[in-house]
Amino acid sequence: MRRVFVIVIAALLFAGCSTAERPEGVVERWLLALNQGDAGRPDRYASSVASTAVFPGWRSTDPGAFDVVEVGHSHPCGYRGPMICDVVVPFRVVLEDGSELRSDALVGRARDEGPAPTRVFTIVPARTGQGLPSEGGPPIGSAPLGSWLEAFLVAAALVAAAELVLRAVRGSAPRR
Amino acid sequence: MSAIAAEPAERDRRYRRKVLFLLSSATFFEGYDNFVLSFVLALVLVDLGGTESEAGWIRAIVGLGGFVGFVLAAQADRIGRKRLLLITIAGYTACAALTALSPNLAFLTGAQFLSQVFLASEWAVAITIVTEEFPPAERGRALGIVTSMNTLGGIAVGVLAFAFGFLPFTVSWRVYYVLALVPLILIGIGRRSMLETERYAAIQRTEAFERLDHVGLLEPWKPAYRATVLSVGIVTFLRHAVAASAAFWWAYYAQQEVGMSVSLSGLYLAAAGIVGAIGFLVAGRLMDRFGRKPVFEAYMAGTLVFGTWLFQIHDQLVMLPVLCLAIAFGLGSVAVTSAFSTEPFPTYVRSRAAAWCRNAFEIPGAIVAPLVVGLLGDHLTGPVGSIGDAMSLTVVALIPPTMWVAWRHVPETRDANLVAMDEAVVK
Repeated sequence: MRRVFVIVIAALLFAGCSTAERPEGVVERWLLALNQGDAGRPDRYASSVASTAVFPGWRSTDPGAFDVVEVGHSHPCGYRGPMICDVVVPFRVVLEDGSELRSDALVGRARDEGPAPTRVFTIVPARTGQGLPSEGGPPIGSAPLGSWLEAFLVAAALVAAAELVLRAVRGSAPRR
Repeated sequence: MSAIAAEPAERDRRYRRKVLFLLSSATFFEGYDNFVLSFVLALVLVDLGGTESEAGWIRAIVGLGGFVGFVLAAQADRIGRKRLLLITIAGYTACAALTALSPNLAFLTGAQFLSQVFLASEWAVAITIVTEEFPPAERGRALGIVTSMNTLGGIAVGVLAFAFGFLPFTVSWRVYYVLALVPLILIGIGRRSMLETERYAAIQRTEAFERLDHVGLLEPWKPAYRATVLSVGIVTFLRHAVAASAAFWWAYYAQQEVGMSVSLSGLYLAAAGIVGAIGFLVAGRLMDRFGRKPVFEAYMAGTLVFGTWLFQIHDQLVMLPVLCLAIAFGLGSVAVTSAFSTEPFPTYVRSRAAAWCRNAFEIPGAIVAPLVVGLLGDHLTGPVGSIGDAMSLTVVALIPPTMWVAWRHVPETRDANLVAMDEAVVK
């Protein structure tokens, strides 16, 4: 039982320490960083061209200008150009003043960069049929079917462990 | 009738109503504090800088404060319930002020850590007082009222956020902490007029008082109480792991994965909190009528269904009724676990037993689960990549074991006679 526990914890830790970056996460981090203004350093996730296209005054405005930041599930990219486009990620931002930008972020890297981190290199007008979750589109991420099975197995393991421990404790206690 | 039972005159209804009001602040501000932190999390991360993973760590470290509060909560068996209540309200008020002044995430985490030390001990002593001051027929109802204030604390946050949405300027997250200071000071003054509980005073008058161990933190782990502490502890750990991570991540899920605005999610939280408070009150009445365990099982079944569903919803209209039901069942069940963690134990050890069940088990659940959900659901690197799915998986994994352990191992205490329990101990 102890070995199973250690394996589960190790699996969770390894899972939590995963370094593979999702393009949806890159776009979301970029928008959240943009919402922090210059201090957020959105350049870690996107070109300044893309940042300026979303929020022209981002270098000089106070943090917290976005009321809504929503990112959808990525789609294959049909872009042809000097950059390698991995995926298209739909997104939407609503500013505190109510103005809204609904667009698609092209996520990829330069052809001569080799294994460079993926970034948002530009934004393009939103394509129909690539909806955000609030528009009925797919969620930003989802658990594979196997994860649900694992959740049931964890439940069964916890029941068994608790039962074993409590029976042992009751067995050792004096009768009241 | 023995001296231990006959000595204190039963306090009147008016005094008990006053006690209920003054104790409700403990649970109110616990709910307020927890909801504020999760609700303004996105604003805090924007203002002070941070990521989802860091948010999970903040929640974990802050939650540790509740665990440390165990040592303070256990002192109620030594210094008395009333004195500890006064210490905790003063400490929490100072910490709320420090939180409002936070210059960075580390300072905020420290101030919130200390807040939790005081809040967690206040909770343990508050439910101990309710158990000791109310007659058996009214105990469940009183616990329901006191614990329901937890969601009203959450409602207060939602109402404030909604109201702030109409202001022509952006309101800083710090304002939420500053606004809490005034009622805290007033309640602190009101609590000075409270009396020591009848049961504690009665035990104090017996010759056995000196003989009994009022200090040892391990006293609830004596063989006579061990199995009960452990089974209630496991139940509270698992239940609260789910409830705390859902409370922590819902606003984030609604804002980042469903696309709700901050003000709309605040309105939803307020509306759902009202229904949630009804869930506590109904639980209190039902457990006086049908017993603690059947009501707990029914509430956990509701939590399993609506808690899993809640984090799969992307339709803002469907979200509201499911949120109401998830809060009513998930958080409302705390009225029953409060009875589980106090009623099976005699007075001389009750506050320490409650502290063990609450602080040493329940609070670690609130530390681990939000952290795991944050790691699993991190949009950039998490293996699930969705806070919603990570949260639903947590509900599915933890609620069935909670139901199993409660049904099989936790004693039914609807008809528990505290006087007889104390008499058995002092003999």
